[in-house]
Amino acid sequence: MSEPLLTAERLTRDFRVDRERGPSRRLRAVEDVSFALFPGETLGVVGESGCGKSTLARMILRLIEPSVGAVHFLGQDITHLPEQKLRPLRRDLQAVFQDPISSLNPRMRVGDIIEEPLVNLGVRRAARRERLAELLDVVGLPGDAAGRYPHAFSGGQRQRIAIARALAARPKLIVCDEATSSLDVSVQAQILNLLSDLQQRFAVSLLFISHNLGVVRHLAHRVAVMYLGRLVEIAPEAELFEHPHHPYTAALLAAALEPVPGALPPPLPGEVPSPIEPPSGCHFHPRCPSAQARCRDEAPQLRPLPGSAALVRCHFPG
Amino acid sequence: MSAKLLEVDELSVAFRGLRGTTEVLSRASFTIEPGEIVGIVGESGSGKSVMALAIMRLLGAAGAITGGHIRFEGRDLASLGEAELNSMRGRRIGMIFQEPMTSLNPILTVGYQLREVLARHLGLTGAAARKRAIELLSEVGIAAPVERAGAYPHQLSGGLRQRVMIAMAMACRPKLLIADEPTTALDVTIQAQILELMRRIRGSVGTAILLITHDMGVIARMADRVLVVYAGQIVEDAAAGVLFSRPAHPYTRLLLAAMPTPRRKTDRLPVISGTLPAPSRWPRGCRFHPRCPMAIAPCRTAPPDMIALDGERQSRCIRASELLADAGGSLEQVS
Repeated sequence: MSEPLLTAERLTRDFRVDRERGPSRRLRAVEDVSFALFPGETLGVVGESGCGKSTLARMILRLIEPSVGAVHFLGQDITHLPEQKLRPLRRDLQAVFQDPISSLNPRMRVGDIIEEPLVNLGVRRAARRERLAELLDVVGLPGDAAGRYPHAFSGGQRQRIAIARALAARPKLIVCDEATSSLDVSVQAQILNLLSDLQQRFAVSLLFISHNLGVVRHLAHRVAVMYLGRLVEIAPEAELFEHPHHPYTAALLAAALEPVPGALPPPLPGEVPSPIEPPSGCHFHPRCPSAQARCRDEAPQLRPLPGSAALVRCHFPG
Repeated sequence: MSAKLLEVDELSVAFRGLRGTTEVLSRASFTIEPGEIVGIVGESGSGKSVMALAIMRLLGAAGAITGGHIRFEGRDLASLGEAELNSMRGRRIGMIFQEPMTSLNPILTVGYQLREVLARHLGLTGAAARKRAIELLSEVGIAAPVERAGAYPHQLSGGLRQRVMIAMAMACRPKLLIADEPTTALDVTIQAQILELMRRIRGSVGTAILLITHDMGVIARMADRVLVVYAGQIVEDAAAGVLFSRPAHPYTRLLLAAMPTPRRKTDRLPVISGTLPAPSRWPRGCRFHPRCPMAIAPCRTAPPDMIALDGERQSRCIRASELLADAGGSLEQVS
């Protein structure tokens, strides 16, 4: 296999939570997360709200620095690289976020929004114009879109604008954080098709973060599952969805409702615990159908499961 | 056949805006029987929430019912005065929304807000109200209901807040519960709990539910009957069992095919070209025709009526029978 494009090594990120009374508390949003992402690969990251998937994305994008651990991108340790040295790498590291309304500057014309990364790279005006026309075509926007403002476009078209901007500098990696979550099903299908076309055409890697399992399976080659800040399972797409080994992965899959009439799946008991006071041992043990005493006392490590391609953080993997 | 609980007949709704009046719902007709769960599914801007607001007469100053009737337990809701409406809302018809945080008062405990409902609609006060409030919280599956009653909304998780909303909506044992995207803001494992609770309430109290959502998976597991809404019109009305296995409108069929599933790796997704038109730009003829791979000349000019296909279903498509005969999925390949 080729060299990884990106590696995350034992990434941990703490936040301080201030309280009205009493000392402030520590919230560990991400704990000990490691993975590698290869050129041209799509790694899906799934989990419920508060599992740390967006904090992970922000660390990968170096919008925030990890408390512990390291991010290597294109062979360089970028964990604490000063912004000035980071800038040349930014062209290869782009992002598409959930809400295309708040992530596009409403006062800029669409053409300027898409060209901005090229301006920052010092690309000349004529070359930018050429690239802009190309990008509009690639993402399926009309040529006259360049002169208009974001508010004139629908949610799906705005997401196309965000994707065109992310592609402008020909990046090696695009981090997509809930990129299709605010879109209706029919528009979501258009954007998913666009993303897979782009990946095949430009061999770009995607870190695709979503709570929607169907969407993740559609795009991803490998999938990582997070629960309360920890990566609990990572496996090739087919293995993860056909033979989930972690009880939480299995529960998530069971709770995803297909458009097929029938009985409701038995719900997982309990609430997602607060990350300020995570349960001892395995974070999932209070809700886990196969938990035993050891799960309460001892946190399992992410380990390769013999006879499979999966890494699982469970004492009693299924 | 049992008496209808709710009869919506040719209901039209319009909103006044800067550029005049715009119709957002056109001649919607459907019924709900006692204890029935009817699902309304559609994309954002389709008009599905407007139906719920119109039934509750909560359209606000800019919105108005411009035609049709809404009969609830035989009475025309449009003819009721504000006082009668207020007693109807909450007592006979309960409602829950997507984000309970915006429906709950942030500066009052949930127990206080529950007791307020009990005082207003049932005249329960003091110890009796306190006792009933705790019972209601316990009924909706809230552990430690005495402690939770003293909590403020922000101290509860999204799932618990939605349980509190359901407890408030169910306080008077309403005949109809209108639930507008009740699980959309919740995580899937919590969604499953709330859906199970709603099913349980229907079973134990016999409350009918009008469930509005964009989520086909939720509708499939919950609804007895499904209404599919597109561009301000009901385009399909069918029993859930047949709707999902053999949709009789091209929009329903494409929408189902466009959903990627975690059960298998999906290949290229069929696409409905274009986007849902805004209410001021509804096309002439069939409102779906510019996006429909099956559209033929009459679709562009003549607005189709709902066509009864058999006892169980209706479709607003002149080619519905052909669509049902085509089981091979050629529609999805065309698109």
